[in-house]
Amino acid sequence: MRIPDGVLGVKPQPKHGWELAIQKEKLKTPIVDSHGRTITEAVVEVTWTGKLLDENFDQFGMHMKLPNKPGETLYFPTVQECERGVHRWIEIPAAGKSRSDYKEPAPFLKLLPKAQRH
Amino acid sequence: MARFVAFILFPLLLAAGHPAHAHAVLVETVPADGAVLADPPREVILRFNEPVALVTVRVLVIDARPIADGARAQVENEAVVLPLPPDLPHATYVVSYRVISLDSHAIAGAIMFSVGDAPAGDVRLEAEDLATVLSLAATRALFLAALLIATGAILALWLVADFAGDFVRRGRRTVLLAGLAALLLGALLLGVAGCNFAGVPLTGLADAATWRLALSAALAQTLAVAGAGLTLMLAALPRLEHGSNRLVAVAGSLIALGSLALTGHAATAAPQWLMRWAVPLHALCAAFWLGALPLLAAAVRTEPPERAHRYAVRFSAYALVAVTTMLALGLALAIVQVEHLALMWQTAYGIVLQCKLAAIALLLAVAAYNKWHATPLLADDSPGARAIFRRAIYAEYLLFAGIIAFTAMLGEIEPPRAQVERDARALTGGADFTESRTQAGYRITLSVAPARAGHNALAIDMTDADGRTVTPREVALELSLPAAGIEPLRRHAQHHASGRFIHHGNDLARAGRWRIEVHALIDDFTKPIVTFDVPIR
Repeated sequence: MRIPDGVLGVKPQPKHGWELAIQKEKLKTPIVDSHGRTITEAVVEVTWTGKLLDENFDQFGMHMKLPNKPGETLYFPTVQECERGVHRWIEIPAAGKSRSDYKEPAPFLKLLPKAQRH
Repeated sequence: MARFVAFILFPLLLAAGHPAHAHAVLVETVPADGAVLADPPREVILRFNEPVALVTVRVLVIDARPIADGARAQVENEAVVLPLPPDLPHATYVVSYRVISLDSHAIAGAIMFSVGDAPAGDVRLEAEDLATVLSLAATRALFLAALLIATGAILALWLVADFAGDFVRRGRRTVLLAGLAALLLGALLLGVAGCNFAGVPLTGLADAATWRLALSAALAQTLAVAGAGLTLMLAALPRLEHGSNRLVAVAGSLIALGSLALTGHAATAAPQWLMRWAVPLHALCAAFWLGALPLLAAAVRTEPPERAHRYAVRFSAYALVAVTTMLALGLALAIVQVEHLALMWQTAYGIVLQCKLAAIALLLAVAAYNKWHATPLLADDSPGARAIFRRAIYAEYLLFAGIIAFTAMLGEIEPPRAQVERDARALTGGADFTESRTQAGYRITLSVAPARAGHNALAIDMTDADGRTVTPREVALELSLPAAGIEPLRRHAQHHASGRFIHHGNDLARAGRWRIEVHALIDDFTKPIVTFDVPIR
């Protein structure tokens, strides 16, 4: 799974029986986080390798700090490599189109404005 | 010594062949097809990819009034230039042409241009006279059969029977009948081909102009050489007991078979180092087999069992080499002509080739039965042995007839290789449909040639935001025709040496507004998708 720009502090959840690989890259401009620390690199790709039968499902978790950009949609293109064949859930809808127009759309998060508390 | 000299003649003949040429293809026209001109043109130029012989060219106003014809046309190598009358009025004009390419096929077509107004509607091509086309295929099949039997009988007499006296006496009649039939059918084929070139019905056989036209085509060369070979064979026939006559007969046989190397879209195809000699050698193996059949049938009927068995065994030994060679060459020829395996099912040529392969499979089954079951029976002279052997031979005759008919049909149909060449050339020369769309910072260009229902070549080019060429890892296409309810066909374009991604196929089989989605996989996580609306005529 590829992590979009702006998402920081990514911590994937390890799974019993699965290998977890994390790929990091240097940031173009270092960022100072809320604790005052300077961050020079970020996780760009997370890979879980293991065996999951077709008749089962499983969950893969990640902790991450989302950017403060309400209204924006973040895409997490994911490649699923199976015993036979590869599925690339990487299709990003073009302007004016929706996810339902595509066969293998990328997983996404739509950022909403902070809820008003009464 | 005789065999050595005879085999020298074969390659010498092949060396005299023409350089490689495919079906002629119209490369450029001035004015261009569909052009709208402000001023009337002074002449029409039709440029092909190889030298052609002109049959007819006419310029008509769209309501079919002729304004110029081929009388003043000039052929300069691969260009046909036709001067037009000055000051053509504002109208839409049709240029209808018919030429003969080097592989003896007639290429007909029409282009349109307008002076002043926009063109309207589609152009209808001249319909081929169906009777002429069928007669051509039938005559070609009969000629081929007669040629193979005559030449094959001589080869069989030589290799299997060593020109033994009684075989020669019996075989003489076969060679004489088949040889004369081949000569007559060859002449008839020339006439029917002439009618086909001229686009006239079979009544054209009575017209001297049809024959003159046929003689100017490359096919006449093949028939002339075949005729020469057949004449040599027939001349040597009365005195085959003498050694020198045997040499002449075998030489004639090889020359007649070698004539098949001179024309036809198989022998003239690339790669020439393979095709030029593979075609006649393939025919030679088939001829030997076919020509040996009457010999064996006669042997079984009249010879004592041990002798008949001995000849059958000898034939088997030679046949094994001949059949293996024939199959290997046939496979090579098929691969070159069909090019992409998918086209075996999508084209008429592919379907007929499959019928031929099915018939060959049956023939091999009968031959195997003959070799391993019927032939050994002859040795013990079991009661039904001769009958079984003869019946197997008749079955082989029947299957051969079918195979030759299919082969003659293949000779008439444009092979997929030629379609692919034609459309690939159209792609580089300026495709009939080209459009570019941008998505996610990438500019994707789709070109389609000839953008007509049937075989098409699609090319995809890609550049990034700075205009640099990008080579995606994979390019997938989804072709659909929503109006006709054709769901998306998923195809993959192949990476070409030129850097583009190209797909050839008959998927765009109907006219209409096709939706072509291009999925260009840049890397594991990036795949821009662009949709094009492509009108197919």
